[in-house]
Amino acid sequence: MSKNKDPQAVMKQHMGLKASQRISNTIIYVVLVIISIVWLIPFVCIVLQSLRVEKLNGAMVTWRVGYIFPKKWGLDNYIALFKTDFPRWYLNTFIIAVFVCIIQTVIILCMSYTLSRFRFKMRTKLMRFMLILGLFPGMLAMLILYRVLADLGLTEEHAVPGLILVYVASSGMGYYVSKGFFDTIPKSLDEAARVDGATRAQVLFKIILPLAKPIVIYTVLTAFMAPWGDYVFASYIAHANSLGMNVAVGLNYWLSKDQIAAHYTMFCAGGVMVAIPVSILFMCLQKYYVEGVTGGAVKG
Amino acid sequence: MVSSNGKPAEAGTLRRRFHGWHLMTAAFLILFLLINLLTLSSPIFRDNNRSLTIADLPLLAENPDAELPEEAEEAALPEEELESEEGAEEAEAPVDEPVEEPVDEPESVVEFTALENASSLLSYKQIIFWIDLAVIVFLLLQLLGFIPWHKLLDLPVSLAVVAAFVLSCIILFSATSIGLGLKFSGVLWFGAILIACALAAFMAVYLLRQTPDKLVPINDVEFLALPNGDKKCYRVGSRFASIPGGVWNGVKGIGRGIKKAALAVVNECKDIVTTFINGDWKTKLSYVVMGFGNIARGQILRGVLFLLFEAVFIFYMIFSGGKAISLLFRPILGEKEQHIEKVMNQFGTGYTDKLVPGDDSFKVMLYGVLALFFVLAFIYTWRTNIKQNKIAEEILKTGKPLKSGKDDLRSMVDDNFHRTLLALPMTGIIVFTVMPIFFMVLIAFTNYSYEHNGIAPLFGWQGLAGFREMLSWNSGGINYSAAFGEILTWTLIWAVFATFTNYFLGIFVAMMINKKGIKFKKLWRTVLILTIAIPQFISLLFVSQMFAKNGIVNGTLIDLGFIKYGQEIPFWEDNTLARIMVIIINIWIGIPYLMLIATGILMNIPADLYESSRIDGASGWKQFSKITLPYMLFITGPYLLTSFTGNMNNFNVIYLLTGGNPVMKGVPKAGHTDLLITWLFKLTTGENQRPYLASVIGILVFLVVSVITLVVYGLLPSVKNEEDFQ
Repeated sequence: MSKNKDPQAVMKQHMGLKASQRISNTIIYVVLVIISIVWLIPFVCIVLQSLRVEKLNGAMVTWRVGYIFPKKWGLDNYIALFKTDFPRWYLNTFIIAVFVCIIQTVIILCMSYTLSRFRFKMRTKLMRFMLILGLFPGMLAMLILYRVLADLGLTEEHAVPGLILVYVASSGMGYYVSKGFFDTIPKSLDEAARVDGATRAQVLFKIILPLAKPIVIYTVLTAFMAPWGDYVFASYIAHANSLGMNVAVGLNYWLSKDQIAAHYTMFCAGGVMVAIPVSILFMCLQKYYVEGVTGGAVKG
Repeated sequence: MVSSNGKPAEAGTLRRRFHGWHLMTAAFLILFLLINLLTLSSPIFRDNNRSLTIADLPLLAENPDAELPEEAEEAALPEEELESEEGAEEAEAPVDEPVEEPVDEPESVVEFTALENASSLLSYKQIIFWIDLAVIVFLLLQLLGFIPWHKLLDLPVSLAVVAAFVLSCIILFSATSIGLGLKFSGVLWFGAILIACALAAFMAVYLLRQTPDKLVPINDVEFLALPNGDKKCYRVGSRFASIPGGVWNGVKGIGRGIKKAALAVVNECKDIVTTFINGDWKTKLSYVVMGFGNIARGQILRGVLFLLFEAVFIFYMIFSGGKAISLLFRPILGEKEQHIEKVMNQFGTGYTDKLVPGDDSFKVMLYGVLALFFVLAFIYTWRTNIKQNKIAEEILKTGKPLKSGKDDLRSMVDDNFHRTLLALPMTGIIVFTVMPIFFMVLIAFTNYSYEHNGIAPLFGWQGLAGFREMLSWNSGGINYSAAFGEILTWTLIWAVFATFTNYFLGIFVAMMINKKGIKFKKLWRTVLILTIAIPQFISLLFVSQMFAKNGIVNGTLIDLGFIKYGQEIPFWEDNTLARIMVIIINIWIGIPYLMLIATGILMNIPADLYESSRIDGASGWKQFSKITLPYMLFITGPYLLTSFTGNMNNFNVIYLLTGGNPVMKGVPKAGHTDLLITWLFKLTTGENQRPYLASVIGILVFLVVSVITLVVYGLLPSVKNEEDFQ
C-alpha cells in the first residue's frame, strides 16, 4: 500500500477502525466468557458432586449419576472421608511435598548456579550428557528402583521415604529454568565480591541468593506441587498398599472398577479437599510462577 | 512487502524455468505406476475371492494372522490427501490465473466417483484403483502442461504433495511386505517411513534445484526479488533440503565423536606409560599402591583417601565383586534354580518336600552391574592418582610447595566450589537415573518377563530376540509389530496435535486477553490458570468420569433431549472418538501454559510494528501472520521442540483420561489411545508383565525422540535465518 494517502482518508480509516474495534471487542468478550465457562464447568461439577448426599432405599447414592445438580445437599461425603484412609494419604502427600520441596530446591539451585557461574572443564559435556539422558523415558528406571527400594524396605506402607528419595534423587536434571535466571544476573557482581576477598561460597549465599528470590520461590512452588499430582511413581512404589499411597494413587484407586460404585462422591470430595489448598497456594504465588514459566520458555 | 511488484515473468521464461517440474511429474508418474504394480501384485489383491472391505477392518486388527491392519489407514489417507490437493488446486487455478486453460472435466468426475465409492463399502482394490486413476490423470494433465506446477507451490499444497508422496511410499512398502510374506514386517514398516522421508527430502532437494535460475544458495536480495510463489517454494524446499544435510552432519558428528573418544583413550594410555617411565620411584610405586606418592610428598589427606579407596576396592572385588561380574557374563543369570528337595522329616520316619530357594536373577544382574560401575570408578580414581603424581612432580621441580590438606579443604568452598555443589546432585543423578537406565537397557536383551517374576525360574540373556519379537508379525500368535506401528503412529499424531493445537490456541487466547480495550484481564487469566493450579490428576480423572457412558455429559444430553436413553455417545469406547477427546481435553489442560508464555512474549513485541503496519493498511490476520507469529516462532522454537518431545512422553493426560483404552485385542496391555510410554508403563505392572518388551519400547522411544530432536535442532538455525527475511 502506498504511504502518501491524503489525511482525510486516513482519518476515515481510523473512524472505521474504532467502530470495528468495538465489534471485535464484543466478539472477544463473548469468546472469553464461553472459554471461562468451559474452563469452570468441570470444577463446578466436581464441587456439586461432592455435595450430593441422596439416599436410595436407605443407602447413600455414592455412585456416578448423569445429572449435575444434587437432589439433596450435604457434607456427608466430606465427613465420610475421615473414616477411610484418605487422611493418611493426605498426610503422606503433605510430608512428601514438604521434604521434596526443601531438598529439591537445594539441589536445583546448586546445579543451576554451578552450571551458570562456573566454567569448569566438564561443563558443556555434562550439560549435553544430561540433555541426552533426558531423552530416555524416565519411567523405564522405575522397575529397578522399585526392586531396590523393596529390598531396602522402602515400599508399600513405608513408601513415603522411598518416594522422597526417588523424587529428589534425579531432580538435578530440571535445572534449565533457574539456570536461565542465574544467567541474567550480571557476572560483574560476583567479580566485584571476589575482588573484595569473598570466597565463592560467600558470593553465592550473600549476593546471588538474595537476588534470586523469584526463582527460588518458583522452584519451591513447583517442587511442592509436583508430588500432589504424581501418579506414576507413587502407584508403583505404594504397590496397591493403601497405607503407602499418596492422594493421586488413592483417589485413582477409588475410581477402579470394583471401588467406584461405593466411592465416587467421596472421590469428588477428596479431590476438592486436595485442590483447594494447593490452588490457593498457587494463586498466591502465581506471579513467581508466571515469571519462571515465561523465562524458561524464552530461553529454551 | 513485495506483493505489489510480483507478476510472474512472461510465458517463455516461465516454461524454461519450470522445465524441471515436468521431469518431476514424470518421476511421480512412474513411481505411482510402480506402487500400483507392486500393490496389486500382492496376494490380497491377486485373490479375487478375498476382497477386503472396510467393514472387515476391526476383524483384521483382532486377528494376528490376517494381513496388515495399517493397510486400512494408509490406504484411506492418501485418498483424502490427494483429493484435498486436487481440490485446492482446482479452487486456485481459475482465480489466480485466468489465462490458464480451465481444469478438465474428467478429473472432477473421477474425484466424484471416488468420493461416492468411499462412502459406501469399498474394497481395497477399488480404493487403490481410484486413487491411482485420479493421481495418474492429475499427473498426466500436469505433464501435458495444463496445470503448471508453480501454481501449486503454495505452502499447504506443497506439503500435501509431500505428505501424499510419503504415504504412498508407506503403502508401497507395507503392500510389498505382505506380498513377500515377510515375518518381520515391523522392520519394513520402519524402513518404509525412513525411506519415504528420504525420498521426500530428495524430492524437495530436486524441486529446489529446479526452481528458477540455480537457487541454491541465493542471497537475501535475490530472495526478495523472487515472485511470491517461488519464495514459498524456496522456503519449503530449503527446509526439506536441509534435512539430509542435518542428518549427514549428525552422522559425521557421531563419527567424529567416536574418533575423538578413541584418540582420548590412546592419549591417556600414552600418558600413563610416559609418566611411569619418566617418574621417580614414588610415582612408580603409586601405580600399585595408590596414594603412596601423595603420602610420601606430604599430602597426607589425599594419599590416605586414595589408599582407603584402593583397599575397599580390593576387599570388595575379592569377596563379592569379582564373582558378581563373572556371573553377569553367563547365558543364564544365577547358578542355583529354585527347586524342591526331599528332606527327612523331624521324626525320621519319612520324607517331605522342601522348597529350596535359588538365585534371584534380577539381583544377580543388579550386583553385576553395580560391580561394573565400581570397577569404572576405580579405573577413574587410579588414573587421577597417577595424574596427581605427575603434577606433584612438576610442581616440586619448579620449587613451589604442594597444597596441604588444609588448602584442599579450603578450596572446596572456593576454587573447587563447583565440585562441592555438584557432588550431591550428580550422585543422585548417577545412582537414580544413569544406573537404572543402563540396567534397564540391559534388560531389553534378557527374557525377563512375568514368568520370571519373583525368584524363579532364572532368566538369562537372549540377545536381540526381544527386538525381533516387538517388530515381528507373528510371535507366539501375537502381532506386536502391528500394535507397535499403530501406537507409534498415534504417538506421533498425538504429539503433533497436542503441541500445535495448544500452541496456536494459546497464542490466540493470549492475544484476545491482551488486546487493548479488553477489561478484567486478570480475571480471565485467573480462570484459565485454574487448570494449572489444580493438580492434574483431579481434573483429568474427573473429566474422564464426566464423559463416561453414564456420566454427566451423556446424562445432561439425555435430559436436554439431544440423545435418547440407551444411545449415549461412547466417548471412551470408540477408538477415533476417544483419540479426538484426548486431544480436545489436552487443549483444556495445555492452553493456560501457552497463554502465560505467549503473554510474556507478546508484551515484548514492539508496539510500533503494529502501529505502522496498521497505518499501511494491514489487516488483523496479516499482522498476526507477518508480525506476531514469526516473532513467536523465532523465540519459542526450542520450546516447541521440547514440548513436542514432552508430549510424546505425556503420560499423565493419556493414562488418567483413558488408561490407554479401548483395549487393542490380541496384543498384551496395548490400547488404542496408548502412547508408547503408557504401553511401556502397563507392560511393567500388574499381571502378565513383560519388562523386557517395555525396555525394548523404551529404547525405541529414545531412538525416535533423539532422531526428531537432532533433525529439528538442525533445522532451527535455518528457521532463524528465515526470520531475517521478514
